[in-house]
Amino acid sequence: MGVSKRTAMAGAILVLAIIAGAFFTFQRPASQPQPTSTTQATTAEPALGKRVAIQGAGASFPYPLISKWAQEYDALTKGMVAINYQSIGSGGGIKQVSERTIDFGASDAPLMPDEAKRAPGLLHIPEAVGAVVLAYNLPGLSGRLKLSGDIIADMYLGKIAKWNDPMMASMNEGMALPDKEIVLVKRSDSSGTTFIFTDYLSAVSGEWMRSVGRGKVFNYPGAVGARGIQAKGNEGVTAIVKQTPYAIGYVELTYALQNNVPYALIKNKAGRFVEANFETIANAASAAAPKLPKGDEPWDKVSIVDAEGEASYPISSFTYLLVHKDLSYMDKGKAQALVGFLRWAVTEGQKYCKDLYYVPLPAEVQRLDLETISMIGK
Amino acid sequence: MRRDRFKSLTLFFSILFLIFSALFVYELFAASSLTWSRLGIAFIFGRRWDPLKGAYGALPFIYGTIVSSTFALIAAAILGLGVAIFLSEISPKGLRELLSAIVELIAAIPSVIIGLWGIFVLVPLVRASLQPALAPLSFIPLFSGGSPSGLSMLAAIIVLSFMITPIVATVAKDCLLMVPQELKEAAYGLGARRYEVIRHVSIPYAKNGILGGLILGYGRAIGETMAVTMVIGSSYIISPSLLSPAHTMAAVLANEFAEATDSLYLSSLTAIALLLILISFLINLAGRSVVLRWKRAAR
Amino acid sequence: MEKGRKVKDWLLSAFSILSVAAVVSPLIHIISTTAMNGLRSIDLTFLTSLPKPPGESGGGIAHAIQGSMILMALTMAISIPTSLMIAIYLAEYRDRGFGAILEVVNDALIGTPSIVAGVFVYSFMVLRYGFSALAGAMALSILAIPNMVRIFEGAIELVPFDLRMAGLSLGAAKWRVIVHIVLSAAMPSIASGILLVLARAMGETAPLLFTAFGSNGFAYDIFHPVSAIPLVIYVYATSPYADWHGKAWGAALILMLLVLAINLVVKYGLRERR
Repeated sequence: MGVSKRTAMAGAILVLAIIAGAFFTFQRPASQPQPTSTTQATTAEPALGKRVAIQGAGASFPYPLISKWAQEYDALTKGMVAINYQSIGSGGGIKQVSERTIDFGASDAPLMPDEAKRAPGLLHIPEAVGAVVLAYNLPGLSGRLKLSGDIIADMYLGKIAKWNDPMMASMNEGMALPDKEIVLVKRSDSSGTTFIFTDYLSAVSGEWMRSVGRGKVFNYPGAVGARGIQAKGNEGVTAIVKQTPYAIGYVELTYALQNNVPYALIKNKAGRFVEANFETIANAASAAAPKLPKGDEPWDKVSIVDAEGEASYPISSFTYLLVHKDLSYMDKGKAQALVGFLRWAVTEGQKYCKDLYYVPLPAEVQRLDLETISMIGK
Repeated sequence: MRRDRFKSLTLFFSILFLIFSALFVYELFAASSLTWSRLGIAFIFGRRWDPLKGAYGALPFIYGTIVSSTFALIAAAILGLGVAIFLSEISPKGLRELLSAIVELIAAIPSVIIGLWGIFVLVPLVRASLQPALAPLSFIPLFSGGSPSGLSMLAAIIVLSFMITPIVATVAKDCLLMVPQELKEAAYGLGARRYEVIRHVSIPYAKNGILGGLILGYGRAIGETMAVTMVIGSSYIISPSLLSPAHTMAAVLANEFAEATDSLYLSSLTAIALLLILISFLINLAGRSVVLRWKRAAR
Repeated sequence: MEKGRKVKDWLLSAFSILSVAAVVSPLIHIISTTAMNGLRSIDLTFLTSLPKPPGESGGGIAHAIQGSMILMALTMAISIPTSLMIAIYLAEYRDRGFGAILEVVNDALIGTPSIVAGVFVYSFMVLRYGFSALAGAMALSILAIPNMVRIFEGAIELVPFDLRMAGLSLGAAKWRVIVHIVLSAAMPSIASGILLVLARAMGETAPLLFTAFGSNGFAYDIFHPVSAIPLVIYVYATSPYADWHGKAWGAALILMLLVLAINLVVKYGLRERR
């Protein structure tokens, strides 16, 4: 049983025609309609003859921002530099850039000593500042949930199991917390967002520090049982929290805001309940700025969680672009284009941060980055 | 001689194919050797999967794969047989063609689309309707606890059943149709009713072929990735309850393979891939040989 | 006694009818949900534009459509000649021992879980050369070739012996007989086989996850990552953005229509001959 010869022939011709059409769209420059801002001829558009495709992957934390940059830079360079960024998690970003299967990686967690040993010569280039918020789904709740570090730690350790637990109630006086079990959501993939979250919990809860510690992954302690869910990427966690009543999860601020998911006020080191916003995150970052290491030094001790200051948001973090210092393995035109993009991202590109709810780099960090970028040998 | 040259050409591709297949298996063994040498057989029975602490045990995934596939097989066996009986014994010929085509169409739907439907239709259904409905049975471990989101072993079982029933049904239908008419007529002639003919003549005759179909369906369920990954909840905890989230070998590969940074992690994931393909190989070979042998005997 | 038999008979009929209903209704629900939700998202922009950054609405999946076409073209280019050669060997030139080994290996590979194909190509190709459409096509070919070999071999074996005899008796060389006579006669079945495997390959996601990797723009060339329709369905479906969910349904509708159309053409294209 099969198709008649004529049909087969006609079908084959049609298919081949379509496929030929597909291949002809290969080298299309200037792919998108107007960018959202006026383009000015500025830093480093490489004077290339040939179109360049740069491959990046990693953290979902800065994905909306890098994605925006890709679109704008493509328009800026009139399609000559195409940036493709895939959100696969910080762990994935570190892994793939170490293996050189991609051209740059992105991670919210700095390289740990063993990761740095496996890929010596990877530079850290912070490209923005963001925050991890506790997004929740409490149907019918009026008002904003308030949480503190030790309560969050106890929730994720399984010690606080219900929303109307006395500790939760005392922190949220006047609010009608439901008599329901807390559904916890965490990341299933190797995540910088998890790293920031666990870094914070380790700083504020001795018990968390002892039993779980900080890392890009962690397992729910046994007490959590079936109340614990995992999802892939900030995207996955946000989706689950949004769809599951009585759930709470830690996500990057942008995801909560873009998807209209409420997030909690957190008690900071100074004892105040702060919301994650432009000002509070910037405050957390500016305190750390002078003390950052050079681009080619180890960054595993860098952390701005639980920052000092009345108006500092306690779960903030830099997010890093990871690039090899020695790009000799890369095609020359591509290496040039990559450096040009990086320079643009930490300078011109910063103007796109605010609309996406990221905080632009403090001036000192920008200077540090430009120094680091100039270290990249071609 | 031209003839030898053409044969050599075909032989060339065949040898290339075999070399490639050998490479395939070798690569999987080599890339997972670290895990086997360091953890040994204990890897298969290890309950704990904790990359942060460097603990790797494949049992949660093996458990999830086997449990989800087995329950799906049971459902597919029941429904598939029912469909096959309808198509081969009860339905008028025209309807048989149409319905067979429709059933086969189910097998053609890409897994990711079933996963999409799973996330937005099935999972909310499990959360909002099935779980509460099963609550009175919660004293049975199988239905105890629950998944607050609806992502669960149960959701995975349902999508898997849906995906493998067409395989079972089609093979069973074909086998039932091959039952010699004389045998059936003899039974009817003796006064048997349809149910008795089916139960005592057709099915015993087609038994081995149907068994082959079940084995093939099982093999498909074990290797199924996307639809299961999207609805099962990715949990490392081995729970007796069908309502809890779980994990499978294919799903953990899809989720974690691209980011395994340290060697033991990567090696352990590759070891899981190796186990998965070995199990698949064996089941598919078994299923195929059973079906073939029966078909040859039945002719 | 008679009543019991009648009841059992009736029960069996009822059970089998219910089974059919139980199996067909989810199918209808899936197709109708995909159609209803998908139609809402599909328009010219959807089919011809590139995606917008997350959080922005608008844009489309043109990159995924192009990516899928490229992957299909590459997969067919790799799989069809290879499978044809192997099938011809098995059907026409088979040597005793080697043929048996080849057959067993091919049968074993038919059930390869799709994710494992991706794992292998990642270890073997991607770690050396990076993510690419070619790697994606290799992974898909690993899944396609064993199936094609089986179908082609069957089709060739079904060609009546007399046809070959006629050719040979006219003095034609064996290879000519195979290429011009046998293959021509088997062509309809071979074509169906190609279409069926193509339809399956089009819907595969797992092998592409760490080979083709995905992209946000049009493909640069075959040595760089590409997107694909099943990939965007997966990424958009598991995201929180309502806009992306709509796009996932739209992409699913397109994919489903393509797959169903190909399957229907294969099944009913025969009518034309009569």
